[in-house]
Amino acid sequence: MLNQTVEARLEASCGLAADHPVMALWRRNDIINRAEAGSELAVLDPAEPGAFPAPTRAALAARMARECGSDALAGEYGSLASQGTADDENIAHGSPLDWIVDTGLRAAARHCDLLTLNPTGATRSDIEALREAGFSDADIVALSELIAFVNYHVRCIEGLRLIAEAGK
Amino acid sequence: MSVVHDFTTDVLTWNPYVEPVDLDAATQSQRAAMGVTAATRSVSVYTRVLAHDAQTLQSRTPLFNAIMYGKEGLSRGDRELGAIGASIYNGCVYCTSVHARFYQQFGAVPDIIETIFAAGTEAKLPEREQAIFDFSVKLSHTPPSATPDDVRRLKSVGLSEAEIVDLVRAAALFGWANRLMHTLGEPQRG
Repeated sequence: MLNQTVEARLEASCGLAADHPVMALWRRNDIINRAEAGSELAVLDPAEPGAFPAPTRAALAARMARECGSDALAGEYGSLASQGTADDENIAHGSPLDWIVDTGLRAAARHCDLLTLNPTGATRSDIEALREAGFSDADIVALSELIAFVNYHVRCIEGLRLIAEAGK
Repeated sequence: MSVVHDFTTDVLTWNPYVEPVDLDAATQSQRAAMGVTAATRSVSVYTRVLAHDAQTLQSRTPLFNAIMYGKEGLSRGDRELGAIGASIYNGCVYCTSVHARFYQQFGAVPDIIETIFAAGTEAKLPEREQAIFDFSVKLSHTPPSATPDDVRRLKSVGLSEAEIVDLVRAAALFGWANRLMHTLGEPQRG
C-alpha cells in the first residue's frame, strides 16, 4: 500500500527537493533514517493490522495531519486511504464524528482528535471508552502509536520547512 | 499509591490503563522488540505495554535512542531541554520527571528546572535556553506555531542548522512519547 517511500512523502509534504542542503542534514544519520521509515510502515501498514486495516489507518493519519495544519501530508495520507470505505473517507476529510457510521471507528477517530488537539486532557476514561467500543488492549496500543507517530512526523516536517525558510 | 498531577523531579512509578504483555506469554516478535534475552530478568511496565504493538516498538526503540542519546550533533542537555519543553506543554508529568532529572545531570544551566516548574511554558530563562525552550513549546502546539524567526533566534544564540535539526527531532519525539505515556497510564508516588 505504501506506494511511495517515506522519503518521497516527506519531501512532498515539506516542499523541499531531495537535494536541498537541509535535507542532507536531516538524513545524515542512517539509524534514524531506517527507524523512521520502519516506524511509518509499522503504524500505517503493519504485518498484523488488528482492528485497523491499512486504508483506515491512512484515513486516521490524514485526519490528524489536517488537524496539525499539514494539508500536504494530509493529502499524501489521504491518497493512501482512497481504497477505503465511506467511513474512511469521512475520517480522512475531517468530517464531524457523528458522520462516521461504525461506532468503533467513531470512537477511534474521537481518540485521534483528542490526543492530537488536547493530549493533556486525556484520562483513564478515554481508554475505557475505547474498550467499551470493542477494542482490545493491543488495538488500543496500536491506535495510540499511530496517533503518536503522526504527531511526531508533522512536527518533523514543519521543523524542516522552518529551517529551510529561515535560511532563505 | 497516589496519582501525581504536579511537575516534579521525584522518581515516580507509572501505572498503565491497559494490561502489560506478560513476559512468559510474549510472542517471539514481542520478546525481540522488548530486547529480551536469556539473561533478562525484568522489563519495564511501559515497554511491556508498548510490546502489544511489537512491530512499532522494534523501530521506535532505536529511533528514540539515536535522537536522545546519539553522540554527534546537539548536546545532550539541549536535547533534554527540547524534550522538557514538549512534555511541559503536553502535560506529561512522568516524561517531565525523567527528563528533568536528565537535564540536571547533563544540562549546562543550574536552577533551570525549578524555574520551568514554577512558571511552565511562560518561564523566563537565560537567552540561549529561552530560545531552545520556546521553540520546543511552539513546535508542540497543534498546529505547530514556531516560525522562521524562532529558527533565526536559535542561530543567533549559536546553534548550527545541524543542531537545529536535532532539536526539531528531540522536541517532535516527545510529541510522540507524551501521547503514549500520558494517555496510556498515570504517574504515581509511593
